[in-house]
Amino acid sequence: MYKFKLFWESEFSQEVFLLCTLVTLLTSCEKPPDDLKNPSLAGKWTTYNTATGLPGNQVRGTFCDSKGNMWFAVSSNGAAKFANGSWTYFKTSNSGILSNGVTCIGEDGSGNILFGTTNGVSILSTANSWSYWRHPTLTVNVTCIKTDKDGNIWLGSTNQGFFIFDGTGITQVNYDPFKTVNDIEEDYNGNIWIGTENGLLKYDGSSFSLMTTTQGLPDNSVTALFSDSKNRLWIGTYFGKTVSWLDKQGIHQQPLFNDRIVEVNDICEDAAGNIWFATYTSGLIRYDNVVPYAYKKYNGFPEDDVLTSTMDNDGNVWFGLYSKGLSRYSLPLD
Amino acid sequence: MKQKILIAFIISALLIPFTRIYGQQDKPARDKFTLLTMPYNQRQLLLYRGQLQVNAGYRLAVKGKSYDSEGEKISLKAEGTASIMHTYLMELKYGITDFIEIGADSYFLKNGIRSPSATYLSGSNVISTNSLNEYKGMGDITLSAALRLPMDYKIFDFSLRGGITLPVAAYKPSQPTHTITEYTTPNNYTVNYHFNNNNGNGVPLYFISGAAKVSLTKISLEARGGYRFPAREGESIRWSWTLYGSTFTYYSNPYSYLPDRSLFMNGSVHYQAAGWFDLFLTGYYKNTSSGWTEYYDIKYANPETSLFTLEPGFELQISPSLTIYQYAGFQITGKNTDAPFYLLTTISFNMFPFWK
Repeated sequence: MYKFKLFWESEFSQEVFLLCTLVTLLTSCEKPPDDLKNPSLAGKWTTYNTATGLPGNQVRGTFCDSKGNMWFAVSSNGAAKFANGSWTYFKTSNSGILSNGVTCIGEDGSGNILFGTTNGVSILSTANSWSYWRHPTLTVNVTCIKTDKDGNIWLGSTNQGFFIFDGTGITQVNYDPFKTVNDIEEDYNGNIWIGTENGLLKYDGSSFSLMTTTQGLPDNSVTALFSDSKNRLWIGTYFGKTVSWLDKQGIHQQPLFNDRIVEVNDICEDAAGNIWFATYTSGLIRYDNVVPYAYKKYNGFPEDDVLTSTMDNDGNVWFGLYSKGLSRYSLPLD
Repeated sequence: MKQKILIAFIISALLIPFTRIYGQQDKPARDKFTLLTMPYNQRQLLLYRGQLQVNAGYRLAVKGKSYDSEGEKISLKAEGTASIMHTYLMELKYGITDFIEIGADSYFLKNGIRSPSATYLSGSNVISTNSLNEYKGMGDITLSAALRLPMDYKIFDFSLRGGITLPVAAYKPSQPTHTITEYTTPNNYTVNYHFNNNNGNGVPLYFISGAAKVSLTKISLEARGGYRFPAREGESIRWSWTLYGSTFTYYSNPYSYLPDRSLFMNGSVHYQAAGWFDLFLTGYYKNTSSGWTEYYDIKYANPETSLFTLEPGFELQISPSLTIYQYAGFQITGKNTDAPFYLLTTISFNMFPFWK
C-alpha cells in the first residue's frame, strides 16, 4: 500500500525547486558595461609630427587640462589640442592666440586655458573667447605656468623672475641671482617650489628659503620639478649626475647613469607609478622606482632630446620632442 | 530581480499538481554492492540514493606553451617562462535520491613562474633583475546540486547541475617580498622580484551545466556543457613599491574587476573494455569572455580566450569502494591562453554509509 506523500516530501518537488533556483540564478548575473577599452591598444607607442598634421616638430610644452584634453605648445607654430581622438590647432592665423611662440600651457582655477608665450600669456576662456596678459614695459618670456590649490597662478620667466596672480593683482618677484625660473611646482603640503638657475626656492606661504648644492642638490641649475603620488618632490637639474627627491626624511639621490650628467627637461609620473625623465641627449628615462630604463635612438625611440612629458587621463604618457614631434605611450596592462 | 524570483515561483506553483502522482511511487530495494560495482556504461549520470563519493585528485600541468591573440603558438620554454603547476583537487558528493545529488569541491594550487633574468646597462650601471610570480593557496569552494531524469537508467540519461562558487579563499595578492642582493653601489645590484598571489575569485560565481549520456552495449557517448558567470564586480589590489638603498617600501592600490563568463563543452566516447575498465577520449572546449579589469581608472575588456583540448584516459575499478581515473590533456588549438599539457589522476572512494 502506498503512503500518500506531501509535495515537499516528493523527489520531484526537490527537482522543481532546484530547477527554479537555477533559472533565477542564471537570469541575475552581472552584465559588463558597454564602454570597455580594447586591451590591444595598451603598451603601444604612437608618433605625431608634421606628417600627421601637427603644425611643427618641436613640442616644448604638454599639458592635460581638468576635462582630460591634451594641449601642446608647438614652439613657433602655435598650440595644438587633442580631444576625443581629434586634433585642433591654434595659430595667430586661425585664432585669437597672442603669438605662435607658445612655450608652455596651463589652466586657471576656472578652467580657462593659459598659453605661455615668448611675450605674455594668451587666455582661452571656457566660452572659447580669447584674451591676453602682457607686461606693460617688459618682454616676459614665460617658461612655466602653475596654478596652486588656492587658485593663485604662478608664472616663471626668463630673466624677469616670476609673477604671482592672486585674482586681484599681479606681483613680480625678480631678484638676483634668481631671475630665470625654469619650473614651479606645489608639493603635497602646499609649499611652492621655484626652480631657478641658481638654486631651488621654497615658499611656505609666508617666507622664502633657498636650497642649493650645500643642502644636497646635485646642481644649482634646477630645471624640472614634479610632486608625485607618493608625496615625493622630484628635482631635475641641468648639470647634476643624479636626480633628487625630497620627502619627510630629507633629500635623496637617484642616479640614472653612473658618473654621467643628466640634463633633465621635465619630469612626470604615469598611472602605474613610473617616473619619467625627459632629458637632453640622454633620451627618455623611465624609472620604475627600482631600475632606470632609457629609451633612446639606439633602441627605437625617435630621438635623444626630449623636452617635456605629461600623463593624460586615459593611461597614456605624452612626450614632446626637440625635432620629431610628439610621442605617446599607452601603458601596458601588467 | 523581484520579477525574476516571482516568475520562478509561479513556474513552481504550476508544476505542483503533477508532483503528487509522481510522489506516490516507491523504488524497489537494491543491493549496494551491485551499485558500487556498476560499470560506466550501465551507470547513471548521478550518484545513487545514499551513495557518498569522495574524490581526491592531483593535476600536474606543464606550462610550456601558450596561444597568442591570433591563435599562434608561443613557446614559453623559449621565452624562459615555462613552469609546472600543481593542483590538488578535493570533491565530496552525495546522492540524496536516485535523481538528486549534492556536492562540494575545492582545490589547492601551487605555481611559480620564473621570468628570465634581465640585465640593465646604462653608462656603467649593472642592474640585474630576476622575477618569481608565485601562486599558492586554496581555491574557492563550489557547492552544487544536480538532478537527472526521474527514471531508471537503461540507454539514455540527462542531468542538470547548478551551483555557486563561494569566495571563501584569499584572493587579494599578498605583499611582495622583493629583495636586493649583490649590492655594491647605488646602481650596481641584483633585484629579485617575488610576487605572492592567491587563488580565490573574490566574488561569487554561479554555474549551470547539463549532461547527456547514451550507452550502446560497450560503447557510450557522453556530452556536457556548462556556463559560469559572476554574481557581481569585485575589488582587489595591486602592489607598487619604491626602493631606497636596499629597502623596499610597498603601497597597495585598489582596482575593480569583473571575472569572465565561461562556457565549456565536451563530448566523450567511452569503451567498456571490461566490467572494471573503461577507456575514453574526450574533446573539451572552453571559451571565456565578457570580463573586464580596471587599469589606471579605465576598464579594459579581458581578452576573449578559447582552448580546445583532447583528453584520452581511463577508469579503473580497483575494488567496490575504490576507483582510479586518469587522463591526459593535449592542447590542440586556442587563443589568448596558456596551453599546458596536463595529467590528472583521481582516486574515488564510494560508499553507502547509511545502509546497514
